[in-house]
Amino acid sequence: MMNNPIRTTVLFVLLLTFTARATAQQGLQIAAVFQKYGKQKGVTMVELSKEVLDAYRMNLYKSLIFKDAEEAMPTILRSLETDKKKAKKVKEVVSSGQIRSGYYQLPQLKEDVNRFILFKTGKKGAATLIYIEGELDADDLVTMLFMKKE
Amino acid sequence: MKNNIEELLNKYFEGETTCEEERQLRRFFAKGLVPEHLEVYCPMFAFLGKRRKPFRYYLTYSLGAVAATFLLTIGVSNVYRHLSPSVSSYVVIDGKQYTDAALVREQAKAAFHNVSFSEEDVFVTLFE
Repeated sequence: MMNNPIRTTVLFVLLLTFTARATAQQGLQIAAVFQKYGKQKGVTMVELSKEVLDAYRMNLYKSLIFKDAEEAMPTILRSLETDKKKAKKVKEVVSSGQIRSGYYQLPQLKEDVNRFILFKTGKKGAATLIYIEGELDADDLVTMLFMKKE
Repeated sequence: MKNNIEELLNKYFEGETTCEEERQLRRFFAKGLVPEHLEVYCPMFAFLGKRRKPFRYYLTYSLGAVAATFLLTIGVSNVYRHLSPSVSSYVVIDGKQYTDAALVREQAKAAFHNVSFSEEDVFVTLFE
C-alpha cells in the first residue's frame, strides 16, 4: 500500500492530467446542452480543431444546429440565462419574452483567451448555438458575423 | 562495557559527551540488556532515542515532495500532450460522426451563417 505523500502526489497528478481536457466551456451551462443534444437526431454538432481555427485566432469552435429546437429550447434558454449572469457583454433580441438571438461575451478564461456564446433562432423552430474560444476579440467576431451575410 | 557505559553516563551528565558517545548510550539502553542499577536511565534514553525529528527534516522532505510533484506534473503533462492527438475536426449529424474535412467545414459555415446578421437585421433590431 502506498504511503500518504506518494498517494497524494499520484492522485494530484492524475487529477491534473484528466481534468486538463475538461477546461473547454468550463463552468458554463451550455456545455450541458452540447453534451445532451450533440448526438441526438435532428441535431448537427461541429467541433473544429485548433489547426483549422488558427487562421481565425480561435482555439475552439463548437456549434449545434437544431432542425427543430422545440424540445431543447427550455434547456437552452435556461442555460443561456445562467451563463448570461457571468457575461461581460450581452446583446439580445427578445421577442414575445423569448430570446430570438443572443450574443454573450464571457470573462476571459485566461489572458488572451476570450469566450463567446452565440445563439439565434431560425425559421420553423430551428436554432443555432455556438461556443467560441480564442484570442479573437469582440470586434473581430462582430466583423466576421457581419460580413457573412453581406 | 559496563564500566565504559558508566563512564559515558558520567560524561553525559557532565555535558561532556560527543554525539557519537550519546548515540552509543542510546544504543546500549535500547538493547534492553541493562544492569539493574542502570535501569533507571532506560526511559530517559528511550525517550531521547525516539525524540521527534527536527523541523529541518520535515522541511527538507516537504520541499522535496513539492519539487517531485511539480516535476512529475510537468513530465506527465508533456508526455500526455505528445501522446494524445489534439481534437480533430468532426461533425455529428443525427448522432453519426463524420470527419470529412469538406463536410465539417460546410456544417461549421452553416452554423456561423445562421447566427450572423445582415444590415437588414441591424435595421430591424434598431428600429423595430
